[in-house]
Amino acid sequence: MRKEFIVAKKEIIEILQNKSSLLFTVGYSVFFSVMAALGVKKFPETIDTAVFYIPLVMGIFFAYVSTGRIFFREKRDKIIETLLCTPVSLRKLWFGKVLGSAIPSYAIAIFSAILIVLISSILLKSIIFPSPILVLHLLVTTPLFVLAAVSLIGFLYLLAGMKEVRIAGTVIFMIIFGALFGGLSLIGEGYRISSLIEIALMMTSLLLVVLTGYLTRYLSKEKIVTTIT
Amino acid sequence: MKVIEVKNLVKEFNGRKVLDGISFEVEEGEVFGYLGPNGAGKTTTLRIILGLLNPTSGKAIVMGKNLAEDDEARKKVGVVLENDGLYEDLSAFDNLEYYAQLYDVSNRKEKIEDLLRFVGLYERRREKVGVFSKGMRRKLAIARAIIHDPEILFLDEPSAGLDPEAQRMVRNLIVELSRKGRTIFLNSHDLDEVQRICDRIAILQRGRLMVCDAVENLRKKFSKPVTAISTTDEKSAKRALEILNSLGISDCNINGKIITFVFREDKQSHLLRILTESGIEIEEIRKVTKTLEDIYLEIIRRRK
Repeated sequence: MRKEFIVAKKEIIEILQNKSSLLFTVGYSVFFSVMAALGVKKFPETIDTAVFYIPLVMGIFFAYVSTGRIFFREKRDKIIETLLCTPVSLRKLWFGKVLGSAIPSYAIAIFSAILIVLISSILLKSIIFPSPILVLHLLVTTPLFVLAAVSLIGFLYLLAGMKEVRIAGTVIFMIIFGALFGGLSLIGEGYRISSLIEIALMMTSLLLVVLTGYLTRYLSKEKIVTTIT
Repeated sequence: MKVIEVKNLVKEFNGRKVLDGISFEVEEGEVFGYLGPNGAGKTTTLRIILGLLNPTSGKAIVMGKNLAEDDEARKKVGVVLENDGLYEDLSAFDNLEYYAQLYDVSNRKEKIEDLLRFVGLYERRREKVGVFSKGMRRKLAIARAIIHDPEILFLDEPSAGLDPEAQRMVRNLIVELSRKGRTIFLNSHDLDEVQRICDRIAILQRGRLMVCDAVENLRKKFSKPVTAISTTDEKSAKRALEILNSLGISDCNINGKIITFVFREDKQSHLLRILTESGIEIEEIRKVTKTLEDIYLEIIRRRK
């Protein structure tokens, strides 16, 4: 197995072992999905907005929680030093950790989307499906967006000093949320998610993933080790 | 064969020199102790050797390779740093399995079980590391460090913060590994530990290497022929002190009924006769050997 996948697998196992944070996130996901489904019951045309927005928020929320665990805690506890002495390159370690956080975060996002559709269908007593553009959103844009957020937060956690690191992660998290709210207000009239918005979000996410991947060239072991204390 | 070569190593942080021209070599199969007070630069040296920091100038080579540049070369090295490098939410077995995968270890299950038996944690292999005592974690960290059968083991303060029993367990483990032919680089504060297990030591002070030699050679170099005489009472000790002073013997110290002084060993019988003829009853006369701690403190004070 490739080293990145070994790292990712370990991170996912650790996330699954930590029942409290998992239950906490699943609980949140169920709560927001039920609330969104209740909204859909009143205004069925809002199904697209709910499926567009809630899974993204839940995915990003879990990404924020899990990157804190995967990147921040490992740096704070200096476990990262031991990892950097293994025959795995820094970029592979970073990417493995990014995958280890992004995969469960995406799973939470999809879980939320399925819940919204399922509960809305039960409440409306008819099977409802989001529009094809929303299916594309869930299958392509959402994982890309989650990956972009995890990459960026993870990168900053490794790069910044321990004092700045928490602030940096929270700032990124807030910016992403702000952008999402901004996006929602742009969607505005008629609660329709246009192809343009979808493509813009997809391209922005892709660009962020590529940009962060490029920036990891500037990440060094020395930078990580000297910012631990 | 030299397995670690450190040459003229200099490291500066924001213009402040932390290491100032360090050079030493470690031979294959040797247990090498790297000593120094807090802030002397021990961990910085270790980090440079391991490729975690880049030297400002000079070089650190392990088995002919620079560990910072060669991912594969790091397979020949095992490390136990300040942190154990263990995951609390994973079991002892899963922790070892993770590292075994990262090091491409074959026959993982068998190897992990053998190692867990070796460090005495086999019965607790399924328990999460979070519930382990510090001593158990240290032992597991050593197992983790040797999972891929490295040729060199770097240990940073392996018994720091452990109770005496756990310290002994860790020490015995290191001795056992050394017997198996592994080269061990031991970064330590614990002079007793170093004295017991190291073949050679280097003492670092404020970024400079003060000495680098075998423990026995250092003893010879730094030891003056100190003799201790134990008299029957304090009064006799005071009289003996007067006699020693009248004979021109220097560096005499009195502590209760014991006097220590620098004196040539071959003239001890002559001195003993003078003292007994003066009516002083002597209970014991012995040569005082300097401990590594004495030597270490002498070197550190000299530099200050």
